[in-house]
Amino acid sequence: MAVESKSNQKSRKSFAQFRELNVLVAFLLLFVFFYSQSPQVFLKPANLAVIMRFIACFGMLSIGEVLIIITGGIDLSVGSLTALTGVLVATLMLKGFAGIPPIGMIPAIIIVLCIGTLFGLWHGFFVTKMRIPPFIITLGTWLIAKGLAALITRGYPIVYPSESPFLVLGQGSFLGIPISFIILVIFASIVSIILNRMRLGYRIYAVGGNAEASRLSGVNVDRVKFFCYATSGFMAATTGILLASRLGQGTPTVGSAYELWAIAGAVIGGTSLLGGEGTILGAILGAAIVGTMQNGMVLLNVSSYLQDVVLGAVLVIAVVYDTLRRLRK
Amino acid sequence: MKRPIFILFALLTIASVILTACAPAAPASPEATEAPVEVTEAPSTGGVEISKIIVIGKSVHPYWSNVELGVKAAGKALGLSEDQVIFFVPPKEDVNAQIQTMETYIAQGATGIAIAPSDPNALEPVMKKAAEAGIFVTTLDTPPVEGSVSKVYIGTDNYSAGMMAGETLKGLLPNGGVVGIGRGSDTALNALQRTDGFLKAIEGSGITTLEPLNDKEDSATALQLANSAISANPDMAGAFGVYAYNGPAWATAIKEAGKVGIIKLVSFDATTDIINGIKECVIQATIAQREYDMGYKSVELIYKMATEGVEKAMADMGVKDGVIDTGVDVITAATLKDYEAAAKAKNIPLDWNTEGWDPSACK
Amino acid sequence: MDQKRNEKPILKIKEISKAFPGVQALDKVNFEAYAGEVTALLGENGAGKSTLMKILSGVYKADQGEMYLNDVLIQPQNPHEAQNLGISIIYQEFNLTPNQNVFTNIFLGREPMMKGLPGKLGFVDKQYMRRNSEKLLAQVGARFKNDRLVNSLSVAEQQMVEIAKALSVQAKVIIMDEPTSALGKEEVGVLFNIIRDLKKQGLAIIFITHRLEEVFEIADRAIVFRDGRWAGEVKVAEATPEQIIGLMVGRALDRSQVHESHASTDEVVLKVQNLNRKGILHNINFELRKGEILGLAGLVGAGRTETARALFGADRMDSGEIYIDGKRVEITSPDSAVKAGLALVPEGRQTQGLVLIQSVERNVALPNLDALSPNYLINRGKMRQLVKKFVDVLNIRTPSLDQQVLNLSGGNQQKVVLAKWLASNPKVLILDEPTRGIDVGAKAEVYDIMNKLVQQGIGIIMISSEMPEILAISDRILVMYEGRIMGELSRADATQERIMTLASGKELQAV
Repeated sequence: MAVESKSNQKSRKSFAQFRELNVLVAFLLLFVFFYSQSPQVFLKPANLAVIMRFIACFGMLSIGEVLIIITGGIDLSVGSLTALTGVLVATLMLKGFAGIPPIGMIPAIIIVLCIGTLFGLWHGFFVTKMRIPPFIITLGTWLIAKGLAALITRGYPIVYPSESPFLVLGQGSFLGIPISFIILVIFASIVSIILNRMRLGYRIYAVGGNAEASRLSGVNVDRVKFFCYATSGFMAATTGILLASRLGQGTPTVGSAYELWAIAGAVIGGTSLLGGEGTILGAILGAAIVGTMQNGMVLLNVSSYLQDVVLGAVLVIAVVYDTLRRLRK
Repeated sequence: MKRPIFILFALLTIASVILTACAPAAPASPEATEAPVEVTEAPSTGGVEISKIIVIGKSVHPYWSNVELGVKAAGKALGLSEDQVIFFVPPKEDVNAQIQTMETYIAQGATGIAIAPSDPNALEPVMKKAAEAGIFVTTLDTPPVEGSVSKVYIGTDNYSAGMMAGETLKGLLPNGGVVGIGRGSDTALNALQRTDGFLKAIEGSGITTLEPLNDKEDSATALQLANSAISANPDMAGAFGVYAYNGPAWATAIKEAGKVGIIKLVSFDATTDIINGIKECVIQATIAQREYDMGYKSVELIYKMATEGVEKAMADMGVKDGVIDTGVDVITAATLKDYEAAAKAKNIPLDWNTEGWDPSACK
Repeated sequence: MDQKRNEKPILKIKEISKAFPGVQALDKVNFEAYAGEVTALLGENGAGKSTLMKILSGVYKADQGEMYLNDVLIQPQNPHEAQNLGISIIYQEFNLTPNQNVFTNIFLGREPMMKGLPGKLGFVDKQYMRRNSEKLLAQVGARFKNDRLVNSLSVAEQQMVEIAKALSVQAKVIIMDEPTSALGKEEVGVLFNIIRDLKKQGLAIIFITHRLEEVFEIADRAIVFRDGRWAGEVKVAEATPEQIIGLMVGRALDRSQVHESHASTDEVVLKVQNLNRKGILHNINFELRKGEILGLAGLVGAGRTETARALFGADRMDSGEIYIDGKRVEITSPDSAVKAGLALVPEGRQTQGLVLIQSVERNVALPNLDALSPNYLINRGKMRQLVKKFVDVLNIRTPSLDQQVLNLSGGNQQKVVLAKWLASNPKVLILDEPTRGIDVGAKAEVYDIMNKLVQQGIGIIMISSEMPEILAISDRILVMYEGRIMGELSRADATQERIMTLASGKELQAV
């Protein structure tokens, strides 16, 4: 028999799951710490909702980022796309665009989601067919989207009337849970199922592990990458719409450096920047760690000068820990 | 090797399509350019050739859009063409972009440059270079360094505006209390000066402040932080929004916490969402700088310097100690309608109106 | 051969042990190298050769045991220290910076400084580097200039740079890890001349290889490791190949096992017509029958791999028709090739064949995901069953199906590549150098698998640069030269000489 005992297989498996356990433990420790520091406030439903909204925003972007990083790429455009899509949805609904009168909420959302996806496909096209490094092409979009958002608004926020039903998406909650967080859970579940249970997911990991071997195994590598980039664009658009709703306005002053937070969340959650490894759950836990820390430090009235230092240190520790873990293996 | 060329061509095509598609969108505020402008006197160049008057702002922001309106209105009033009056802002505060822009226009031989230096120290050498090249250099919005080559500073300095905000909040909170501060930067001068002025004004009162919350100029983060701060401090009595979007961020957070009127909110600027906040009685007062005037007067001053001589221009424009103080408006529910009327009188386009709104609702 | 041998070994390794989690990589091994002698180190993959070399060069630390260089106990902490002691290693993958010139590479990391203040300020002495590198290059018989960029050199020339680099530190011991694996026949000859030269200069050479012929050509002594233990030592002059193979596998390999006549049918499973790739392949025509092993012989660069890749859709073909079971198929990508019933075990096992960081299970499942996910969702039970079946059939030695293939030996990795394609139930299996770099035992297993497959009616195309292998296993042999098929030989007609004649572009006189 070539395969040894069953128990050996089991232990391997639990080790594989242990990965995210690390992040989960870190998250829980952080949670307990902040709870112990301000017990009367931290666990209040209102405060938890604050944290959940944060996780919803960056977690959503992390989903797309994880997919792309698994394939060995990177998407620097998502932050700017968030601003652009937020501005676009508000423009379409409130002002109309290029002479077309304002349209309803559902068509506006659908159009903007399509635009986000198109941006993703555009990245996919350059990365696969033109062999442009993802870093470069998404950096281009980062600038383009930022510029377009500023150009369309000229800096003015496009403000929703406070009674607009659109605002429910970002501001409303269901049984105390912010709707945006519920949307995140839905999307994260879908993408998790794709990654873990569907052949597309298997192929995504394989492409990230070795693109050439995957191609020679009959995997349509380009199609796999197209999917990942398109998903990232879609997620950025979703985030943009939710943020526009949350803020009650489409404004170009959102999204700055969100891509970095999304990447940081993914990396803290165990995604390897070398490709081939990473999970959605990990990335969302990573976003949760960042969100909890940000909220917790405000609760503790930590100077904002210091907050960035702490967050940066956490990121470095996470990456170093992950690298050491890999080396030990 | 045909491929790269093809790609380049494709990219250029795409870029030009984007540009042309966006071009009509450029004069985004048609009200601004079409608005009738009070032309008081027929402009005479007095034999001096005006090449270009440049106004350099800090970032893409409604505030700077209003400056731009003032700039354009002044240009029109003075009979200058659109190519002669140029307004530039980098997408975000960017000292380097400002320096590069200045150098470009120095090379082109502008008549005058009015700049809102993101970092006065860093900009001073290039301003000096411009002055040495015979270009009139003035500053707006942010005062230059001591002994600068900038002859005139047009604006209200942020420190006094911040003090005004502090005084206003002090009046709203006679019994003191905990106050949160939201701002977009821990390093930008305007944020620091507004905060310092604010802190100076409340000194000695019963007001205590939390650590300022830095959202890095991101509206969503600003809201996030405001949410966190309100839930962290159930006894919060007041809030101060340093940047334009900070006010609305606090307003949303206050509404969500059900503390409208309980937490007194003072904000900066008069964007539509801030005015909405005032109308909804969430924002008790906002400090509006007269940025339109800053833009308008910058162009007017440089024009006069070029045509009538520096001394005469400065005397005409009422420069005192090298400063034209544009002042601030403190807008409250009680004064909102007056502010609207004053803006209309200046032909400043407003995205809002007070029709059907009753100021007495906020009492 | 012994006249140059000193009485005392220059390098002596005593009872070195090294364990990794779950593996005893080295178990009290002894090893000696003498000045002026070539010692071949042999052993299957996983026998512990690389581990020993890494201990010698200071990459790993031994758990126990001692090493002596000229009777002095040494404990190198890192490769740099080992180098300074006089131990240089030339790895299979060269450690050269391709965009820099030869002399910079030779002194990389040990750049001589200028004298006086400039040197203290960090200025390097280029003159010294130029002069000395010229000497070193002459020493290894290199005929290229020392200011050439490394990436403009051939593989063999780059190896000369590596050797010159090793000499530049006054090496006493030079270890060469499979130095011939990337070289053509002539280049191997050049390398051996260099090695003989170095021997004369009194250096001790440790030569790690898989190729037995080379041991007999160049080595004085051969030391064999097996499963982390010292398995035996022979004087090459007095040994036979069978003896050494016996030490390596622990049993003598009967070469006739490989020979097995295949009941090939007349049914054509694959027909290739007028396959062309501009400048690379010219009018390739051939047929492959069910149950047949078709050998594809030729020198490196003859277009064998290119034919396989074009056939498999990995490279675009400019024109050509491919028929499977008599039906025309359009192959535009590996994807469509797999669907048409083709499978390719590529040349680069690690770079093209496997996703190294993934498990055995994932690798085997990769080409078979469509079959395993009838409605997009992967049937994980079915997947495990399928993978387990082929892991058992091919006797892949892995602790579990979840093991990363990274951790398997070369032979087992190759079997994973085979497993993934066998699981896809192909009609035609193309094997590109299937036994390169794997040990003798694993080779025998691969032949065995091939024999079984043809019995099941699969058609196999095998590309191999090892003449004995081609001759032993093929039913029919096509010989390629410069992108053309030069000729076809039946099993009965094929001889080394005939293949070589065709492979050099000459017609056969009379058959």
